[in-house]
Amino acid sequence: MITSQHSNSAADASANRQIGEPLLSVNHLSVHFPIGRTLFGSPTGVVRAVEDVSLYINGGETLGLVGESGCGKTTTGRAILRLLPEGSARISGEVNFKGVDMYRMSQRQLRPLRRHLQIIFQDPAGSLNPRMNIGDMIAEPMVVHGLADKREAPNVAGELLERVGLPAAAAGRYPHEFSGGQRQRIGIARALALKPDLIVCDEPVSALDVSIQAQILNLLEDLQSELGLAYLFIAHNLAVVEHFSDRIAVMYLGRIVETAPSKELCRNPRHPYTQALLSAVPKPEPRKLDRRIVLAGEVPSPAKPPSGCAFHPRCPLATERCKQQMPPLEPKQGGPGHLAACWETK
Amino acid sequence: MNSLEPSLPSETMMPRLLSQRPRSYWDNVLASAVRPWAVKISVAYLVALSLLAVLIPFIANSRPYTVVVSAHNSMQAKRLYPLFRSLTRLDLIVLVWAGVVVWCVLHQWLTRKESDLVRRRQRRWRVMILAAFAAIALTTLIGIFRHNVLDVTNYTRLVAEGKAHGAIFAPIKWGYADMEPLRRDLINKMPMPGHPLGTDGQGRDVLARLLWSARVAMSVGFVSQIIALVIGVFCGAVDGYFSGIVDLLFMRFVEAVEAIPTLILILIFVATFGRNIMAIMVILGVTGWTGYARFVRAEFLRLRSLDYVAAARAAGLPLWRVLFRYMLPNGITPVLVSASFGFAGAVTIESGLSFLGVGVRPPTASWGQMLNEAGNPATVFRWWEAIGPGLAIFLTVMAFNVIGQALRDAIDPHGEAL
Repeated sequence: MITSQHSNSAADASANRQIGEPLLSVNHLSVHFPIGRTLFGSPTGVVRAVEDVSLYINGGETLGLVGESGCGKTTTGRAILRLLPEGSARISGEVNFKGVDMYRMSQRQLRPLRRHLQIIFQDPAGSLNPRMNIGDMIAEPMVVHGLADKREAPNVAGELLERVGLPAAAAGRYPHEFSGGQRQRIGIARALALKPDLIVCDEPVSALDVSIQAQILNLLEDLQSELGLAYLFIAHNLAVVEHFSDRIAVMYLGRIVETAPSKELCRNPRHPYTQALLSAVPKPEPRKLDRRIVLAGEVPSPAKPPSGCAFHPRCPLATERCKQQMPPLEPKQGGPGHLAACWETK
Repeated sequence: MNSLEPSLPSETMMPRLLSQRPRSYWDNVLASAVRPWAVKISVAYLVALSLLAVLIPFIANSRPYTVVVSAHNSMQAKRLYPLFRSLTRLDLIVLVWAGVVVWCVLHQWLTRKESDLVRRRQRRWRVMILAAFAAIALTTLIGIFRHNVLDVTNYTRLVAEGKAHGAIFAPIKWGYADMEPLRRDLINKMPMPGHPLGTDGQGRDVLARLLWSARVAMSVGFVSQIIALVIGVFCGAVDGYFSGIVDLLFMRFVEAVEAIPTLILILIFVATFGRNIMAIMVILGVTGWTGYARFVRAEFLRLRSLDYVAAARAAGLPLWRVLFRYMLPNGITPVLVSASFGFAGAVTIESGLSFLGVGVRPPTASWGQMLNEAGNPATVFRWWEAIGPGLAIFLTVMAFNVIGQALRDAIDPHGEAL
């Protein structure tokens, strides 16, 4: 097991206390994937996909999780649901959902809890079982959890399909008969079937056309106000998250580098990486003065993260200190709940 | 380009889409696999062979369906049903199980247009489980109460001598073991009227024996491959899902099983316990599952990181449901391809063993054994006895290979269908 706590326990603990017990709180979550195996199965290296991540989500609110491809957002989402294949990853830290640590339960004990915590996937084609018609796919979990009996489950599934904008008669169809946007609606209907409190949306719109993206986002927003859902909204596009989230956390190379309420983060980004991300968001009325920050270099490999601050090789503000010491996630100037991990900004 | 991935309907095409019948993955695979004429012929051939294997007692049998026998010392005549009376225990059990299979297929076919899919699937399952239970019960009853009736009466002669009349014979008037002992001139004869494929060295009809052999070939294929499939799929599924230390140990066990030389094991068994075709089927099954386990394991390693499996786990479905409803149907296709090749392999092995004289016990007919007898003693070669079995083995193996190849092409979205 990995033990690497030095940074932000005080900060997030205080944040938790302000709001009261959140629906989901993740404390010091680390996910390490062993890579390469010797003859006897011991790993030759490790990919630190998620490193010391802490976050929380209150009931009915949306937390946006933003970062580049490969920064560990998806892994974080999967780890929260305890969906990473058994034995493939070393996971440490706590995931408290409804006051229960997901990793202290057996899979069997976990099953009743799973109904409150659902997921929508990025790839609408890959997230539906190609051998099952969608009515069964939506009805089966309801039957297993006793939310509907076998006879009425197909009707409930039909209602759910209509709620997400598909005809109820589509229940007898197979996934390959639908378009991408339709499949994403089916994925949403399946997640809703269990009446969850929190849905992890793993880049739900990034595989869709822009016009369809808007439809799906509107649908998610409607459902939130109607059913009081909380979302963990994972995306690589800050523009999508900005309007959709109450709070935003920015990830870089497996760590959260900045977190703040949505408006505050966009108006007053403290971390140079967030600033770079924001400058990449296209604006309706570009002004000449807006300087586009283009990051140099590639994202480092999470198998060999740089020393000190992981962002220092690409950071315009980097100093000697950044190369040697890891900055803690600490409160910065601005509104309450604005934390960033940077030595050079106040 | 590919029939498996029909062009995606746009949102506006929904009404049109709903007017068509839903097409599952298997609808598409079967439709595209069966399209080439070679596959159609192969399927037809194998269906015919299976029917033959099941119905052979009614097709080639020396006992008539029904006959009226006048008794010796009285004028009273008696109507008998010798063919039905002499059906063996094995015949009945084969009939029962074939009936179950036909009934399940028919039921699927009859209910295919029902609209409520959830209920239809439930009913299908119920029908299949009921049928299986009925078959098991019947098998047990037959095993306990049915005794094989040895009926050596030569009905053909009775009819010829006028002691019986009104006989209705099967299309072929000989069984696999019936010879004409009183007519030495009918031993070892070339094809002629009455014996379209001639007779063998003991005066038995070659055509009857050729057809009876289908039962041995098909049952060796079926039983051994079903045993292998059940063990292989179950072990591979569990192994592939859990991986880690389970996988490590299990794969070493698989390698150990693979190291067992099947043919030598069978020869040792036969040398110790005598010829027993059932034992050969079981040995072929319990040594032949490793390939299936490897396939399923590889598929499950791939599948378990897929989103829809994650979705099923996230929905809190029980493990067996995730394994056998979400993963297995998506990972079974390479196994089915491999099973059709495995079936062909089992048929070849059985023929080979029987050719060497360690397969079926005489007088049971088997293609391999007939090939052996065709050149035995070595001075005479009865080509009419060799041609049929040779062709039958060739066609059967080829039919399975053609079907396996077609299935492989149909499920491979990247390869061009040949």
